[in-house]
Amino acid sequence: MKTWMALLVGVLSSLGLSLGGMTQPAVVLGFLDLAGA
Amino acid sequence: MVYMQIIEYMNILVILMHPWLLSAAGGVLIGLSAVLLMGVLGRIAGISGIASGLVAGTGGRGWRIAFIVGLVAGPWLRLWWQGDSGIGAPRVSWPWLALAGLLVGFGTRLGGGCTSGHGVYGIARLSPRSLLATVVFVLTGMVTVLVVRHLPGVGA
Repeated sequence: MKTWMALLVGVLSSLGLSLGGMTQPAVVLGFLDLAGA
Repeated sequence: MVYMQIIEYMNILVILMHPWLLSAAGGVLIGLSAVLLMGVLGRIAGISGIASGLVAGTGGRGWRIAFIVGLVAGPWLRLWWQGDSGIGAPRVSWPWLALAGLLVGFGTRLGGGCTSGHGVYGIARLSPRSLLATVVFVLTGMVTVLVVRHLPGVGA
C-alpha cells in the first residue's frame, strides 16, 4: 500500500512539475532573468 | 473505448488551457502529492532528500524507490498521453550538466533540501527555514542568470 502510494506521489509530483513548466529550462531561466532575455 | 475518449477529452482540455491555468493545475498536483506523502507515509517530499536517503541507506528503501520510479514515469505518461513529455532539452553540453548536477547535489546537502523540499513542500508547510532557504537560492539564481546572460564577455 505504502509503496503504491509513493509511486502515485512520484507520478503526481513529476506531472505537476511538468504541467507547471518547471521542467523547461527556458521557463525557469525566464523566471530568474529579471533583466529580460 | 470510453477510457480512450476520456484521455482524448483531457488532452483537448490541457491544450485549450491558458498557461496560467496549466501552471495552477501543476501546483494543485504537486500540493496533492505532498499531502498524500505526508498523510500516508508521514514523510516530506523533498526529491533530493528522498534520493539521498536511498543512496545513504537511511531506511524505507521500498517507498523511496517507488517514489523515484513514479517521478521518472510521470513524463513518460505525459509523452504517451499528449505526445510531449514536457521536459525541455538541456542548453549546455553534458560535462557542464554533470558539473552543475554535482554543485546542485552539494548545495542541497549543505542547505538541507532542494527546490522541491524547501521551495515547494517547505513553504507549503509555512516553514521559516524553508522560506529563508528559498529566498536565498532564488536570489542567488537571479544573480547568476544576470551575470551569465547580461554581463559582457561572461556567458553565451
